[in-house]
Amino acid sequence: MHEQSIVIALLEQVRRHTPDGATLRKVKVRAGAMRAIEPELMRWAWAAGTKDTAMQGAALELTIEPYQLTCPKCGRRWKSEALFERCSCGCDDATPGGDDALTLTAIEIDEMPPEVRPEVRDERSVLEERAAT
Amino acid sequence: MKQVPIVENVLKLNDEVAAMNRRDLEAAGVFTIDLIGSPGCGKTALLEATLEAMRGELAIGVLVGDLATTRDGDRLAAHCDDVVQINNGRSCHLESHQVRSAMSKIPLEKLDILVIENVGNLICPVGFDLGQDVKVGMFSVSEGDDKPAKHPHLVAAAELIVLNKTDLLPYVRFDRDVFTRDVKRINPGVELIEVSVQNGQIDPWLCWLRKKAKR
Repeated sequence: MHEQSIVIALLEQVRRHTPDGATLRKVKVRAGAMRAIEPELMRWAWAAGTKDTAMQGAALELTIEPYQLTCPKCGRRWKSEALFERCSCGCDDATPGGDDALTLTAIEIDEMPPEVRPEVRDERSVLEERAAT
Repeated sequence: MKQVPIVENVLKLNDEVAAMNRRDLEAAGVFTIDLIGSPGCGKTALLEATLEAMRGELAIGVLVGDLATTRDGDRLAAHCDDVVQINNGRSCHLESHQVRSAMSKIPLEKLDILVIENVGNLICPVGFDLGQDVKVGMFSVSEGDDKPAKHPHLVAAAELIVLNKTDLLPYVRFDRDVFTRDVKRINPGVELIEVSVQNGQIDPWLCWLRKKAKR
């Protein structure tokens, strides 16, 4: 499950970008179609990684870009959520493509610190602890 | 609520270390392969046979990743001095910092080729740059002819696809045409070769390695 490794990297990155005293509310990530991200696994890993940390409760907004399909017969190019799709010319051999970028595009924060903040723990140790159980 | 725009690669750290690996490997003149395939497809067996076949011709080093044990490392070390076993605990793929650490344990300047045998997995290793020149995807006929279509991201990222265990073709359900069509559909430019490590038939692989080592 590579989503767990991605979330570990994301946690460190988000922590670096979150100003001291601010409360993280949302993290926005864009994934190219060829990155092979499974959204449910990513959300699970995010929830597990942020639990019992200052980031707990922050939402993960994940945008998966569609595949770019190219027909080898008529040359048509189109976008689709499906990896394999028949071209309008009837060809079944369209080549799937798209980028494999994985980008943190923004975070949303409240700059007022919460009245009650959970105990702050190191995100990496929390995620690894959960993976071991 | 305040939005803070960022636009930063999530795997920036991994990719930066991979770029350092690539720079060092290029400076040493080493052609580097990230070998990716299922557990049991024959990656280690192919490398054992390769090390024997290339003895005295090409200097090959191997970094081999497994969750646990040094069994593959021990097997390969019987054929080559420059083998490093990477045990990565619970992770399903190698990352660039693990490769960097292992690289420091072998004399790169002596090598023509470095093979990184990734953890057995057709999915997770694909998205992590290690600093390799190429990714090679490996399948075996006993896995079934549908595996490229089910794991298209590996096929799309690979420069070479190796199909192993062709000696088992009479005994398993495997349609070569289906396999080849799916591979070429996903990645029209990819090279596809067949080998049977069991029967010692690995010449197409050896030819490909020789071609790459002479770049």
